[in-house]
Amino acid sequence: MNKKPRVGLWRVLTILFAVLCIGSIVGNHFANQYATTINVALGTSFSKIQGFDENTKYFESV
Amino acid sequence: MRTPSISRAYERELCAQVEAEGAALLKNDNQALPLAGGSKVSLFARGSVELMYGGTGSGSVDTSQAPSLKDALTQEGIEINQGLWDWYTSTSEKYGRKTPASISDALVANTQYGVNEAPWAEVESANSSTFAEYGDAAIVVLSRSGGEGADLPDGDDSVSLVTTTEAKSAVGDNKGGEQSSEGPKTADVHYGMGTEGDGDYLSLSQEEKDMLAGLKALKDNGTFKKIVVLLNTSNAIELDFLNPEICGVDYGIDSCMWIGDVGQTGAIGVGRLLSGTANPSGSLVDTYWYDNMKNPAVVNFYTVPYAGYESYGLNTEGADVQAMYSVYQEGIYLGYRYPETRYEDVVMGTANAGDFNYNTTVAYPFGYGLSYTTFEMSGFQVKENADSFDVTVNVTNTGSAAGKKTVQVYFQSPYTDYDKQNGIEKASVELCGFGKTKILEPGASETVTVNVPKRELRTYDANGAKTYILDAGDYYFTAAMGSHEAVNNILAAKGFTTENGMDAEGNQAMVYKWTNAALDTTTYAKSEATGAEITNLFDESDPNKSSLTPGNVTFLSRSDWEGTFPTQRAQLTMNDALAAALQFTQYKAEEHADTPMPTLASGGNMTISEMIGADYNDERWESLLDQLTFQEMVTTITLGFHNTAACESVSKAATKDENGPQGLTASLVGGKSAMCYTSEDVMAATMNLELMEDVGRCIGNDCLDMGYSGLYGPGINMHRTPYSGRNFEYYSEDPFVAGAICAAETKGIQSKGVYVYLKHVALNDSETSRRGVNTWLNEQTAREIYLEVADRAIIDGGAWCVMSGFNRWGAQWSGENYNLQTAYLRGECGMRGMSITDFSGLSQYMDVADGLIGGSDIWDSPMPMIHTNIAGGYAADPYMVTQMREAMHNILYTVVNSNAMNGWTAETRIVPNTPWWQLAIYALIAVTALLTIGSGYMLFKNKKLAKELNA
Repeated sequence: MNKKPRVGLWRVLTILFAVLCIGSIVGNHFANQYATTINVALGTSFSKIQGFDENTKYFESV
Repeated sequence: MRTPSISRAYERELCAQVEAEGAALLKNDNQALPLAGGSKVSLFARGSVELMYGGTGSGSVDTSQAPSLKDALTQEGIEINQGLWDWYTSTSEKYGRKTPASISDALVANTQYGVNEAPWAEVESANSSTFAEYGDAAIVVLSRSGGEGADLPDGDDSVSLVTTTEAKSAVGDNKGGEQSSEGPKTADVHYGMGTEGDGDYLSLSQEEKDMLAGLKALKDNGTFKKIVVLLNTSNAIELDFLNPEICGVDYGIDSCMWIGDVGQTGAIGVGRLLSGTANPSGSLVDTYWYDNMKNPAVVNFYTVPYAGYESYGLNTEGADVQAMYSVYQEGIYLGYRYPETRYEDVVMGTANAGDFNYNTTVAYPFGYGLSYTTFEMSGFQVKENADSFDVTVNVTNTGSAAGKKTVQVYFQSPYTDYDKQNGIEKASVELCGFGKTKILEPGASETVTVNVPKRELRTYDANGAKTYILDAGDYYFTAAMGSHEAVNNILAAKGFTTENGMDAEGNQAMVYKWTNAALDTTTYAKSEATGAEITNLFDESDPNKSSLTPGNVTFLSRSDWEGTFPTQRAQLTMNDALAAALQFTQYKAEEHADTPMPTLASGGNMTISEMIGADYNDERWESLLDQLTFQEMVTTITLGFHNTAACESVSKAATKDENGPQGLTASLVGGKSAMCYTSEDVMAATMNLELMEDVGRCIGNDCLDMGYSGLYGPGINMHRTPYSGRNFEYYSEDPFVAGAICAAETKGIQSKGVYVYLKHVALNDSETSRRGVNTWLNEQTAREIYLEVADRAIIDGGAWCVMSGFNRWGAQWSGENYNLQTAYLRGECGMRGMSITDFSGLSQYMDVADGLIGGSDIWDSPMPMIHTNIAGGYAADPYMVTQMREAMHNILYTVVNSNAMNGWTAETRIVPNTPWWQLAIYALIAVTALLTIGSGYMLFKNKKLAKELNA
């Protein structure tokens, strides 16, 4: 049995994924502009600490 | 200093203690308070079920775990009328207090406060059957809210300009706004009018008056035994209703207590005070007036546009206000300084004292506060030291209940011919010290010694010596319960009595006179902190001296009370020079062309941890700063919203900062909140430095535990009038008590490695037109009133950082005012840390170039489109890069001395990291790209197939 071509479906999906991809790229641009704020809100960072010593405390919580 | 371990339970108890020590008992006829054990009481007014815990905005508090007044009284064994409580609770949607949305920042928000009390007829008809059973006392809670971005309406028929359709429609015709069919257009709006009563939010609404009258009738017929009023606000309500001779109605109120905003657990302290478990020892830190309009600051409080501003195209609202101003025409006569000084002049028969009656003006003076017991002060002595005075007094509990007593020390400086010739003003009394006893059992005594540095006697001479001076003449010291008793004591020492018009005899045994033989213009002409020469810095903010010549202003003067008392707004006029000074960027690169470019991105291997403990001037800083990249500087300086950014080149980690004055209040940005204490005025009213240092220690510990290194607070602006939306975030109308309490709190906070940002330096005393309002005042007023709190907090408390105000000093934004940011804060006060702007994301006037040159270091902005973009354009400008480098020095020096360095050693390094959210975006891009390609391929294939089939 021959396959029935689904041009309409793939056209819709192609457009949809393309829009999503472009939206993600644009979103990434804005997210990078507000990266500092996003990092503060989410508790993340563009850097990480190596050699952190938990026993070194200049100010103690009581 | 106590150093117990800090737990949530400890902090909740501490907050209750602050409330119990700060609440001020104003009236207690027939010992109506404390309530007897097992009393059955009825709680009235919306405030009883909806206490003010704090205001709105960045300093808003987490009340999710806050006990109610009912909880607090029940805990004390007092039974409350549950039916009445339920009725008030069930009607909260219909009769709820109205407060503008958090940080509304619109001029029209000033009209949106409302008491919205339930009509007495409804309260009575629904609940009268329950009153008799719970008739031991009717407790009325009068609450008023305040919030960031919106001042309270004063009911004055003053007119300002609102230029948006939204604003006009919100205000409506009944407030004088004219609806226009022609779209957005300037309209006259009486934004001083509120939605209740006569438009004055701080007078009683008709419903409240009806309630009090109804309760009086029920007291008269024996239903209620007593009426107790609690003032639950940081904005001084007019207290005419407490005095039948003033308001014309006897409401039969037996007791009245000011409790401020109570924070998370302050209600517990209120419950203890009402039950007598705790004895009141708080002292008012604001004057309570019968009519707030008698306060000389009110007439100029709301902003107005300059005459003739229209032709210059300047903004009057929004994020970049240019053409709105406020003049501090009352000068130094802020709060009690006005009525007490004029009272003395009336008694002494000084020329031009005019028609003034203290007793129909002031309901309760600054410093006032009763107790359930009585105290006797005796043995008043003053010992002069080289640089200070030791004021000693014996306090004896002569009553029948245990309690604490606050000893307040005031001084009077002579008002000399030199002062009159040089435009120097002198208040009749000023607070200069305070102390507090321990709990004294009945019959017990304690000797309290208060040290008063001689510098407290100095005054600023802006016209003659142009520095601080010590006048020649007689100085008087006294210990008293409040400013008015202090004046009466001093008048008594001068030989005056009630026969001269005094309203009470003074106690001259409580007065000490000290004479300064000759005018001294040198001793205080140098900074005690830095040794810097002190001279005029703020002439450009004085309308009578500014080169921008906005107009002449007559400041209030005791040389002519009648002729100088402000009765209408000071009128200033726009002109070319002023308009030019109000433009957003003043910086001209060509004027700094010979500056060498600093080293950037040197590639060195120093890390910030090497600078722990290093002096600010340590030469190693230069090598470290050389390593910074331009982009790191731009990011750190311009995107400082609640953080300082990481700098890989020097292995500096990102840090987190948070609001706010009542404790760590992260709720504004969606974070977790910690313990929140009372409003700052209640803190000040404790007049207990040890207690406040402990509060600071706990706030600091909360920050440390939750990973914060900086705190946007304490708030240090002044209670210029009762109508400021943010009075709950500020201490007092008096700079001495505010500075002393702030210094103690600061020491506590910073003991945990948390740098404070004193906010907002300075003159940010109102919310109307706050983003750019032009504030005008003279230098004596600036230094002796509005800068004094920062002065004490930095010099005595060691405060690291400040947040600059939204406002302008004259025409220049606070953050770009070199004389304020650099010459004063660093040069005179010795500030060591950084200066952050207030929220600057959308405000162009908070210009990055002008600000850096002035002394600002970091912009409280999450948005890159203005300041980040502008700063990025200065990459080839050596002068601006040099300014950025200096700002980075201040930022790094602050951070390296904070708790942000916990865990850091010489081996610790920062390495690049891609946060999960960015990985998620990358993944999304990759997946959608692949799907696009895949579906595109399928589309191509299916089209081909379709063609084949068609063929």
